[in-house]
Amino acid sequence: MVDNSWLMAFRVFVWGFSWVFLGLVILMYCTKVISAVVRGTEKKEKKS
Amino acid sequence: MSENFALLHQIIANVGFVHLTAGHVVMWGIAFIFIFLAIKKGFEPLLLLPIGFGILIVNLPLAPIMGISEGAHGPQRDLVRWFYDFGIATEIIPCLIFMGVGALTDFGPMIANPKTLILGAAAQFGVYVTFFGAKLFGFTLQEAASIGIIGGADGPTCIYLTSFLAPHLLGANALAAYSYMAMVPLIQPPIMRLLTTKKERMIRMKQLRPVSKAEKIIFPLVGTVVICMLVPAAAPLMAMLFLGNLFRESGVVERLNHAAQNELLNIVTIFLGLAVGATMSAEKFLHPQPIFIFCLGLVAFAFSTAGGLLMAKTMNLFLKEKINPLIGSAGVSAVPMAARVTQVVGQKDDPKNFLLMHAMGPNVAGVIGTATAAGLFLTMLR
Repeated sequence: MVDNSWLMAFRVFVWGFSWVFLGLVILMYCTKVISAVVRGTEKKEKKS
Repeated sequence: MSENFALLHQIIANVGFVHLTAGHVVMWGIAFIFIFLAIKKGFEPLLLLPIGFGILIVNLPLAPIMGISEGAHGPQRDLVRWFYDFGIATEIIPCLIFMGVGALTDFGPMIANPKTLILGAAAQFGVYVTFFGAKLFGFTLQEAASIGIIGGADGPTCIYLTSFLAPHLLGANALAAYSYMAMVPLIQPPIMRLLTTKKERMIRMKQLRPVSKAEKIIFPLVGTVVICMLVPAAAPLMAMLFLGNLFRESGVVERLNHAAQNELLNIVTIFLGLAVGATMSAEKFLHPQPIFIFCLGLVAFAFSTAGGLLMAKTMNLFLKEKINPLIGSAGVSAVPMAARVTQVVGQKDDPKNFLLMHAMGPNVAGVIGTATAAGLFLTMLR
């Protein structure tokens, strides 16, 4: 029988670490989108 | 005559020296070590100095520093107890410090190279490994989480989480976190050299592109929404971090920006240092537990450094433009010390390799990563 607190510790480890990764990966893509939109707008403004 | 003797007896009975124990003297020694490290060695002096002084004054027998007594108008707090109860126990001070950190932080290098956010996430590996390690030593899940977060090398986050989950460990955890932050230049380089080859350490990275003002203004707004929606428990820290950064980048509230990164940050740092130091009375601190915490904190720090480095090496398997794996070690927060260490270690093998700005990306990403990890611990364990 697995001790419940160890099972909980394992879940916290797996879910916690995965969620941190997910959060920062989403933020990474958001940052890329921000940069693309801003730089695109600035290029357009320069051209016009 | 007898009244005179009674008064004299009362005075003598209330002299601190009469109540001095070996434990107090040991704690004075610890206090002096921290004050020495701050003044003589320059290790995180802004924090280690008030913390050291806090340790000293709380271990002066009978001194009304950290107690609560029953007064005529309810509970009567001693001086530093006010700072603790209204600053730390209520979470206000760590959040205000985060606002100051945000006002001091330039997210530009991270925005220019968003991949570094992954390094910031990978460097949280040590937090979770140590969480397991602490459980192995018999700590409860809540205590283990508060010890694991030391690996994030982020003092305010460590204090924030510990005061929620394991307030009785606050002094030891905060001291371990700030001590290891101060010792980044000693702890990280051997791990960095062990896990990288000379060829890898000599990788030169392309100069970062300039980041526009608009990008820097939009980033804290989007960052607040994304992180606080994913991990609402991290909102107090993240919101304050990004608010401080918005003050900085908006350019329209220079007074607020100046106040957040100077007066406010300095004032709360005094309260924080004293209050944290004052939690370390001999009765609470002189047990095996804090020693375990210090050992586990070192493990956390080492694994976090390794996590960032190994993730950078893994990323290099897929990237056309290779990144120098040394910048992965800066994912442990400790801004900007960890980034400076990356620069120093890199330049030992190639004096013309400038890694500082590249390392600032994972460094500030690590701050976001650690606060996110703390929010997740709160979500799952509170």
